Amino acid sequence: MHRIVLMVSLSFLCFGCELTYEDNVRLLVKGTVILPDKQQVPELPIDVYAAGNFSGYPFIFAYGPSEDLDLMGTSNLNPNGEFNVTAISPENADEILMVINDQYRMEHNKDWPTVVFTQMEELDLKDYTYSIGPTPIKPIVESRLNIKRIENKTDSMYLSIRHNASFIRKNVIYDDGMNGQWPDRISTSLYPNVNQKTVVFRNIRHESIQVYFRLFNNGIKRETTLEIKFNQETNGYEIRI
Amino acid sequence: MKFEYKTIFPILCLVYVMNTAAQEETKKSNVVPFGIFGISYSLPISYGNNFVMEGYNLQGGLNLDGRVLFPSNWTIGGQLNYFKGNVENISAVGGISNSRILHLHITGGYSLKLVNYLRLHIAVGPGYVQYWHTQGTTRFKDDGFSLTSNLAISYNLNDSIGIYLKLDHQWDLLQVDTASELNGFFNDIKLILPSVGIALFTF
Repeated sequence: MHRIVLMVSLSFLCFGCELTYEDNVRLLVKGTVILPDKQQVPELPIDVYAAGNFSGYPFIFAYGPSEDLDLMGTSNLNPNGEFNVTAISPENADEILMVINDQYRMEHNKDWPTVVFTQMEELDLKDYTYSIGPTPIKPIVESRLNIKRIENKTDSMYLSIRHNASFIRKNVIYDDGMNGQWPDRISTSLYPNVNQKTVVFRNIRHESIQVYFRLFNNGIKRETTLEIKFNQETNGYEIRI
Repeated sequence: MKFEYKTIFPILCLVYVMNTAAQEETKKSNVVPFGIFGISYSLPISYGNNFVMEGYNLQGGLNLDGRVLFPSNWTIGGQLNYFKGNVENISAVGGISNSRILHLHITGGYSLKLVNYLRLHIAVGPGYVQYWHTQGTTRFKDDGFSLTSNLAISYNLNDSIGIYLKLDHQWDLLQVDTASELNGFFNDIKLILPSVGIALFTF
């Protein structure tokens, strides 16, 4: 009996199910954002979160495996494009994340994307400070895709346009850039003998888009996926088929 | 800062009842009491550039103190102060929803009889402070050294009870490890705690 009590007691010590925080410690998360064309800096909200996965207590189903996400601190971009977030210090977090312009916040600005910085805990902690290098952020603008038929004018055309009007994920250790993510999607069709069409959508300024198109006429005749870069000359995107 | 009627109302009732019961007593004693115990309701106010001032809405709290009077009018004693603060500005404090703040001090001072029933008490002393923070269901603390200085007035309603007015100044020197630019903001807290309550006298 004593052995069972000892095992249960030890399991409570060894397994946790929530994030805990260090006594007498505060962290500072600081950095800057760079905006294009000396644009006025918006007062975007910045939040720092701690995330943890927990195994729960064995044999107690109410305390099974769980995920915990806590707000460590919050701030705003200042007019110089700098931010300083004062945060509590987690003891057992698996990951620290920072979110600029969180889409679920009341202060969310729809003209700017939500940017999530991951793996912050891997940064060097100097003087209780995590420093993030200058990060370019571009606004969300109304963009145009001009679709032109050059060769094929007889088949029906279906296009699925993948673009990014909302969300960027950025790893602070392995800089994977901000391209290649297209979480939003719109679609359109061109009927035979309709040779040109313009599609308007919102996209992060000058970021590339992905277009999947399919020609069909009694069955699929051709289908392709293309990445299309912003065309400075036409001030938009263009696809010629 | 919120005025809590729930806390102060029982204190006022107790003063009223005890004073009524004592109305038939003859004359209030002029003998110097041996000990004075104060139970009072305090309304903490912070000032300066620190995280308590910038981030909290402080609630009313409890102040308990006791002092022993020597014939020379010098006193020694101790005091406890407890109150709660709700975080209103997370950007100044960090991800905390509320904090409970406890001060414990030992004090030394002087007690001066102003008129027959009125005494002025002054005291200073070192102590310990603990800020017990709540984040969701998790708790953690900041703590450190604290210095207090206070001024109190007691007015005898009868030989054993009186009205007690007190003004505390607390200087909390917390031991929070943080970025050098935030050091003073988290480690140097100043509070003023005016309080009102009852004084109990022993002879």
